[in-house]
Amino acid sequence: MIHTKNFWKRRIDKFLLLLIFFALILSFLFLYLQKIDGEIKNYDDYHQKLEKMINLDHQFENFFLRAYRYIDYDETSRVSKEFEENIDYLKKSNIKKEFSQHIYKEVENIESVYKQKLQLLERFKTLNSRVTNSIHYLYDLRKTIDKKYRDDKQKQELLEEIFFTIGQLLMDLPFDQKKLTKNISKLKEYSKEYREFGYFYQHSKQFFSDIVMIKKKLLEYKEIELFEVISHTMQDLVDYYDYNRKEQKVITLSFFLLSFVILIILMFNYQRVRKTTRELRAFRYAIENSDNSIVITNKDRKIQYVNEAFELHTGYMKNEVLGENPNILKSDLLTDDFYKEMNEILDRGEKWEGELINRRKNGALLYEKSSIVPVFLEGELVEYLAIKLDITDYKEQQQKLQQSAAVYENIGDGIMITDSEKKILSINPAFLQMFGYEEEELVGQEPMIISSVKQDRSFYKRMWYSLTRRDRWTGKIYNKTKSGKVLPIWLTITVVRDKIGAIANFIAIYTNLEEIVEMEEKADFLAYHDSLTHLPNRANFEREIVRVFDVAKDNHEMIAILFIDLDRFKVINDTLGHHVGDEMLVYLAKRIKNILRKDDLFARIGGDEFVIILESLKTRKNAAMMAEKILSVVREPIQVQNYHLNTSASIGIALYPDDGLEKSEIIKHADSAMYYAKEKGKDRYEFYTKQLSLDIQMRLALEQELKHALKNKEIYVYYQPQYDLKNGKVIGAEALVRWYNPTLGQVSPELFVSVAEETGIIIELGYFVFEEACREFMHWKEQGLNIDSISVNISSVQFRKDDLLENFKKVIEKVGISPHNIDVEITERFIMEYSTTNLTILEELRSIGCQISIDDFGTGYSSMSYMKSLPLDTIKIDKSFVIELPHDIHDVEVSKAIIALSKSLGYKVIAEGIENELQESFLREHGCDVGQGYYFAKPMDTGAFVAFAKEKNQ
Amino acid sequence: MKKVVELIISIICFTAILFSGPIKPIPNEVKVDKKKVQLGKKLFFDPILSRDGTISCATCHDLQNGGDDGLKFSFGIGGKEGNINSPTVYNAVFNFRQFWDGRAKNLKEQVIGPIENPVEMGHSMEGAVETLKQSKIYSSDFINVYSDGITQENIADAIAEFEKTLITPDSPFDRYLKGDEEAISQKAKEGYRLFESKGCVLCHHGVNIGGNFYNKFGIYEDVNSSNLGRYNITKREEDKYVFKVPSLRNIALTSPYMHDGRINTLKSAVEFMTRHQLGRHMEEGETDAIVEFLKSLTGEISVIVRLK
Repeated sequence: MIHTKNFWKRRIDKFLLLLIFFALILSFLFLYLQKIDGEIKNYDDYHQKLEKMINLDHQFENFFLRAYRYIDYDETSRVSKEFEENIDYLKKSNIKKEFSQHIYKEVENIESVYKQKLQLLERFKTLNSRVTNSIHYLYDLRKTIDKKYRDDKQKQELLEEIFFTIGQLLMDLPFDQKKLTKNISKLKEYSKEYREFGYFYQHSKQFFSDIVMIKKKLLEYKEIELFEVISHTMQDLVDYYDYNRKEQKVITLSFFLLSFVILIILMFNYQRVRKTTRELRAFRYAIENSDNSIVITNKDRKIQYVNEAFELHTGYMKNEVLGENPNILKSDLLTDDFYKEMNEILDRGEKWEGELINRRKNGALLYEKSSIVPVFLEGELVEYLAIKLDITDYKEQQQKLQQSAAVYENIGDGIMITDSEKKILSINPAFLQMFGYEEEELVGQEPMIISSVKQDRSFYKRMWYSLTRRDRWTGKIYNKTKSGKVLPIWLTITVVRDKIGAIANFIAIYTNLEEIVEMEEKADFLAYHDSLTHLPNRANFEREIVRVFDVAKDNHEMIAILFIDLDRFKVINDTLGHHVGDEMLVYLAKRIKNILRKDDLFARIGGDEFVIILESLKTRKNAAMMAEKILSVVREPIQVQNYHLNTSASIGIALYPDDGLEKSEIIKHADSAMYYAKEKGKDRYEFYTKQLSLDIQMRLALEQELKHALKNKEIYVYYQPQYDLKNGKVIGAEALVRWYNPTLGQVSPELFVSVAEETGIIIELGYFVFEEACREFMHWKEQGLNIDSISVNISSVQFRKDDLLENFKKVIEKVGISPHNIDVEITERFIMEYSTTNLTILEELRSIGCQISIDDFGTGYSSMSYMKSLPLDTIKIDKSFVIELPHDIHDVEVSKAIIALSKSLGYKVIAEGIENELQESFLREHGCDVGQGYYFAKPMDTGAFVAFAKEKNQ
Repeated sequence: MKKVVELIISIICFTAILFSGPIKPIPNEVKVDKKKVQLGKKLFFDPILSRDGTISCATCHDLQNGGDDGLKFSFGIGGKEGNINSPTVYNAVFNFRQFWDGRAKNLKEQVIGPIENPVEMGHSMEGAVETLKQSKIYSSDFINVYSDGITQENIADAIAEFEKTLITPDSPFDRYLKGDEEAISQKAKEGYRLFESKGCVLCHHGVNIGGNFYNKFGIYEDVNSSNLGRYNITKREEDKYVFKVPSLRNIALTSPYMHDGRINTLKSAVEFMTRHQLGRHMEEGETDAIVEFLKSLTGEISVIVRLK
């Protein structure tokens, strides 16, 4: 094959050479034809010029023929110029080279002959103009003389004779020279006497001499054979050209013949090449379809050829590897020495055989049994041929077997292999270690030797059934060690079948579950318990509740779910830190757990959220009692890290089956009830009622609407006058927020303010009311209404914002109100929720001039002494105390006490909710400063307020 | 379409017949290479071509003044006086030969004459080439126009190209020839009739009204010329006192007249011609009419001259 390849190469070389030669001849031929074409064109050109010159020469002739007549000399100039141009053209052309020196000489000859002719023409022109003038003038003169000397016959006759002679001369007729001479001398005589005759004489004389000259010139010009010279040149040109053409024809023909011969040789060659190609194609087919990879490299070891098997085995495509060194396949698994040795053998020109470990394109290993042969042609190394068989599968199988053996020896699981009769064939070290046997003790025995009594016969029956049907069994069993210890084992038995499908071996893998079981138990506890309080967690609770419900359903029992949420836990966490909160939770969890029955589930399901499931409940009351107990233990002060903490809880109770049958339903209801308890003032428990669900729906709707209320301009402010109880004059107003919604109608502030606080909308709402109130206050002032203050309620939620003061300042500045006119109303609840340290905001408000009022005073648990330390200006007695005045003795005492205490502390006192005259006079009598209520005036819009106040203060 | 072509052809034929008199109007423009013209113009006005750098072509051919210098003989370098009257450079392109004796075949050949004439610019063409080569501006100017730069041939070619533009079309008489009856006076029309009938037109005809053949100076009466004319070139007896018949265009602007500038006024020139060349007698009125006609031959100076 190699030989054929070389033959092919040489053949190609020869073929190429011939082809180049052929192309060269063709281009020569082309160029030659091109040259001839050029020559023909030039020849035509020269011929044309000569023809033109002949033509121009004819025109010269014409000029001469027009002797004695007026000639337009511009015309002669044009003709001569043209003739000269033609001559110049020929002289400057390649005529000398293309034709011959001889032709060129002839052209030069034409020029010299032409010059003679031109000179003659010029002289002819000179003479002709003169002669023409003379004839013209003589005729003119004769007319003049005719007129003047009409009667002088002699003179008339003389002129007539002279004119006759002139006519003869012009017509080339013979004339009498003697007579003319005589007449001229007669004229001369007359000319002395008569001026006209003088002119006549002069012109006749000139004319006769000129006409002789002209005739001479005309004879001369006939001798100049310009036409002949040009014609001769033309003939020579034609002859020479014809001769050349013949020569060119011969040359062209020989070129054609030559190229034809080469073409035949090329075709013959092509036939032979085709035959060889067919043979080669057969070889190539054999190589390409071989299962062995075949690689041919040149002597520099660059790949020249690879077959399809190579592509298949290595994953490289032909075009990727051609021109590359085969070592691109090299893996790093063979040593350099290995290759060194291989190269030494190849360099010696010997065949190398061996196993190569290469890599495929995707990086996978490729084991090849290879033989590499250096190919010599005429004693010279031309290429290497490598034939390689892919033995990777075989190799890998071998390796796998080795790996399996290693696994068998080293794995932590015990492995036992038995024959089809369940006689032990082999066991691995781990098995021996696990069960404490020696190998000799077990080989040949039955596996039953390690079985414990924990499984019964039916267990084994099932196991065997699975094994025969599915060839596999897994499961948990208990085995006995040699020392008698029972181990929990995860056993996997696999059936190995031979080729015909009969059982050959059983392979049993024993995994010791001892440790796993322990771990599992621990994990189970962690998964279902709260790590802080060790109480069951939410997951546990959810799992348990299902079980409890199932039991209750079966036994027709009542169950109570108690949702417990600590009040103000967030405040403690935020202000004192998480560790304090956490510790408190642990304490509380312990306290509550102590008062529960052992079976009651008590779980922590969130930060400060707990849930209790009370099973087998007799009545609702039992649940209520339990709730009371819980509230009381929570209420007890707790000492944590030097902090004396007071806290409370809110509890929601839902009952199974009264409040629902589904787990999720009940939980939701307990949650709602808890929220209701919070709303109702915290530190209390509430049972779920159907109304609650409705309220919650309402609340949700409210919340949705409230989100857009401010934007939709549904929020507005009303003002309730505050008046001096002594003289009845309006001294201030409380700004009260109002909401009118198109779908919900007028919504009570009691409903939406709490929702606004929970959702955070209160922040925006609060600013709106504050700004609106301040602005209106300034309007009143503009309208001439001067009162002391405008009271604005600020929610505790608003106080949580750090930039509250900053924003208030901005509003104050924008509106231009004096801070002394602003009365900030906070609730007693606010003071309860905030520790003294956090009340600095009040100090700051006060420092800029605002007044601080405590709203709803008396409803909370705050002590007067505590309030002493607060930056306060005014105390507002809650309307709940006023409403029963002056009949309820308790309320009378309380309000009297509040007024008295406030006075003693220097606070101003305002009574809210005054509805009749009795209340008013009571309060006035007991020293209350300011009143506010329906009895005096309801809250009203700004316009109404201005009118009202103006009227009252007149 | 065919009709239109026929119409155009018939109009052309008709006008050809109309203008086929002995005198033909000057074309309004001559085809030229504009770059060569600019260079030629520069050379024409540049005394660099004279040996001592004092005389330019324009010294003797004052383009603002009829294309000659108004002197009998011109003064060359070093104040040397010439021996022949400078002919006008205007319309020279229409002359069949150049110089009074016609020794130059065309304008290009003519250019060399004055440059090498010892009493004119007194230089040599080789010298002129050398001088120009020292000027960077001329070197680049020439390269822009001619691939082989400054050569004798190119100097002559550029100046000749410029001179081709020195034509004076649109003279009153040309306008008259083109059909404008009002262009010339009645007297000039009479003059033209006489010019034809008295035989002047036999020598002075064609586009340039002369300049298309040679004739002897002093046919009927001796003129006492010291210059032998074409004899100097041909050395043939018959060529003695033979000169190129000069053009009569702009004749009113180009006094003095004759090759030796012997005559100062147009009227005496006409009288001289009548006597010596025509051998005739003419009444004074006739002479005046012819003078009037000659005055109508003054044409318009071309744009390139007016643009300095």
